[in-house]
Amino acid sequence: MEVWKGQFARIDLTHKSFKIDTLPESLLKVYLGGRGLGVKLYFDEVNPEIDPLDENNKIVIAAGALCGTGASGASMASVVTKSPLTNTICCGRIRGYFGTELKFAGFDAVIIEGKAEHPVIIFISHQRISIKPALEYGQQVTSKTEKMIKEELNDRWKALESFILSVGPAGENKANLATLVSDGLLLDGGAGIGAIFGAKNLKAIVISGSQDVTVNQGEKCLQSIFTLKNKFNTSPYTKEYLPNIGNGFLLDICLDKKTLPANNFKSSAQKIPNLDGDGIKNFTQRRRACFSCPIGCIRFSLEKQRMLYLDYESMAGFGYLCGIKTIDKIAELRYLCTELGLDVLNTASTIACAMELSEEGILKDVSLSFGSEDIEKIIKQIGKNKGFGAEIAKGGAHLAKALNRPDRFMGVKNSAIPPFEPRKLWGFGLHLATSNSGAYHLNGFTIIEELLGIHQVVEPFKYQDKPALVKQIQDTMAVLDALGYCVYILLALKLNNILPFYKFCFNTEVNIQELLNLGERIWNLERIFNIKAGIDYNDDVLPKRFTQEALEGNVCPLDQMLSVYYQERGWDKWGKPKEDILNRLGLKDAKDKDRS
Amino acid sequence: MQRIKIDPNKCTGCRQCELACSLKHKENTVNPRRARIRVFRVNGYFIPVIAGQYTDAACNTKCVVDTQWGLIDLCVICRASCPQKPVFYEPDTGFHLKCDFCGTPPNPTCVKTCNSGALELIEWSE
Repeated sequence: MEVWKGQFARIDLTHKSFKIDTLPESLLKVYLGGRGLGVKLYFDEVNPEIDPLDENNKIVIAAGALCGTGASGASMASVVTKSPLTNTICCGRIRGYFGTELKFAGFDAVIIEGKAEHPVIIFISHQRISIKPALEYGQQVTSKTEKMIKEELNDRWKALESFILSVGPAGENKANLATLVSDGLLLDGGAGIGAIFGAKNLKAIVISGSQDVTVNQGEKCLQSIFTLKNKFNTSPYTKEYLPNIGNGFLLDICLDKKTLPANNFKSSAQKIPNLDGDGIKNFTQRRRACFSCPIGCIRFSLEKQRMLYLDYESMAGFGYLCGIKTIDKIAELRYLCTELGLDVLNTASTIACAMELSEEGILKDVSLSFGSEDIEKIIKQIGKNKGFGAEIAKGGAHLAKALNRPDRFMGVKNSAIPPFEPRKLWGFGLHLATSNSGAYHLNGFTIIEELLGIHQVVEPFKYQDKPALVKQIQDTMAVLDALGYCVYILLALKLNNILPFYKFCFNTEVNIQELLNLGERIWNLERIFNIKAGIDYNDDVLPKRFTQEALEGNVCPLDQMLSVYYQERGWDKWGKPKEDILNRLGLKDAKDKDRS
Repeated sequence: MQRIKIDPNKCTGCRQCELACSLKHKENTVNPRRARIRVFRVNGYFIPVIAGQYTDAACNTKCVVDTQWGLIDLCVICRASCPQKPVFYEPDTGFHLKCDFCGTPPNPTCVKTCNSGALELIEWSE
């Protein structure tokens, strides 16, 4: 029980009260923590058919099981809820220090429910939780919010050791594209969570803790940290590319292999000068890391006390999908998204969709074209959720559907497709179609095998191999999320490299198959939730552009792969988990829940 | 004579040194507040500070130093814990902490853990 704190806090915003409850060890062993624990707690508490912005909807924040143990690269906490953007269960990953601090404050998870009358901030420290009014924080950008909270603490040492998860104006105004920001870092995934914070009138959560996390064999854990450090220093990805360029190194590889889309996926990108790995390297002089990560891949430049981050998503999104050609401008747009609390990927992709519709003359409200420099204005409008911004703030799928051209939005389940070309990366296409939280890459990052070939050689255009690969990677990511690991550790490590640390921590042996089973259980539980929420095989689709419009002679053979994928997962032809797989995973109760 | 060289330009703020330090000094326990090295974020830079001697008298003179990392309150990068600086003491017992170089000869765990090159053990002669 030592690695886990065995406790969670239930915070009721309506009654401004909280309750601390225990988490049984049997539950923690099966769902670990992070996304696993989050999905389980959420599933058990919320009716899948709920309107995400309803006050009865809840938010579960769960720290990864290995957060705060010193495990290299494990610091992520997951925010699990039903997103108003996708209407599916979704999981946002908090980078930085928030997850570990949750552990040090004595909790594995926090459940937030109800709705406050006025904006409030939750303070959590050493088992003490207080909910304070925050009227003056209304419509403040995230950097200002963090600054104001630190001033309000009125204790510089406390301020240095408190970590904040906050929502920007976009979330307060309930834009579907809104997400959360922690310590200046946007959440990975989880577009829409910001709107739920807004609906609950929750402006921020401040956390600070000083409790111990106890591991079983500390000396061996320490040795394992040294061993893994050497391992990270032998892979060029974690030794050179990620530290020097960040995940933007993928730009060079994608440009080289012609898997980088341009102009709303209309074509594959031609290199724009400076919008590549070297461009990022030159623009960002500094880097930072999440808690206990030896890689340190978050690149930024400091300008008048502002941290301007640059990464693959912003460069490929604003740069290539929207056609913005200068790196300074992209960094500014990304900064604006962080300030307003907007998901970069979905914002960029939605604007790219609007640009195409406007160029075709279908969208008449605004005049936009690829490369339009005035998208800054549109992003600000999204933040306010007013005027034309309100149309876009609902998400690209809504915009395209309203204009009768739903095929113009490059997304699945209303969530934008990350800028990797599914017509060249078929496994990735299959993952996007089947992803439980709408199109998103970090819960099935097949890129590491299909594009980089880190652990296995994958034939690019052999669709028969893809379903098994996709299933394996989706399950791997689910268990990594549950443990709190970042996906980029896979660029240097295999899953079996983390087994020793797991053993020294928990004092139990585990093998890879058992870990993958844990992942599979999480994946299936999410799937059952979505089916109950009314999202089914009809939504496992890709935009027509990828399945019908050929790019250099290729389309994504989704239909052929999908049926094999369902079989591979033990699902029926309608994509529903069959009885025997549910029995094997111990999820039978979950499926039967609410049936009476 | 050996010294730990600190380079804030290289520090990524991963704080794995803190975790490793606490694991080394208290069996099986991970808690940054038990660490004898702390990393503070100042002006967008991460500055590692190693615990020095406890002093029971707080300074009267408050000063700010002008560094390449901007203006920094000396108090933040001061290595002592004092009645005004609640850092470098055990949260449960209030016991004051001080870096012990991980024994003799020096074999500092924080340096061994650091992957950014911000901490380095060097030979130093004046």
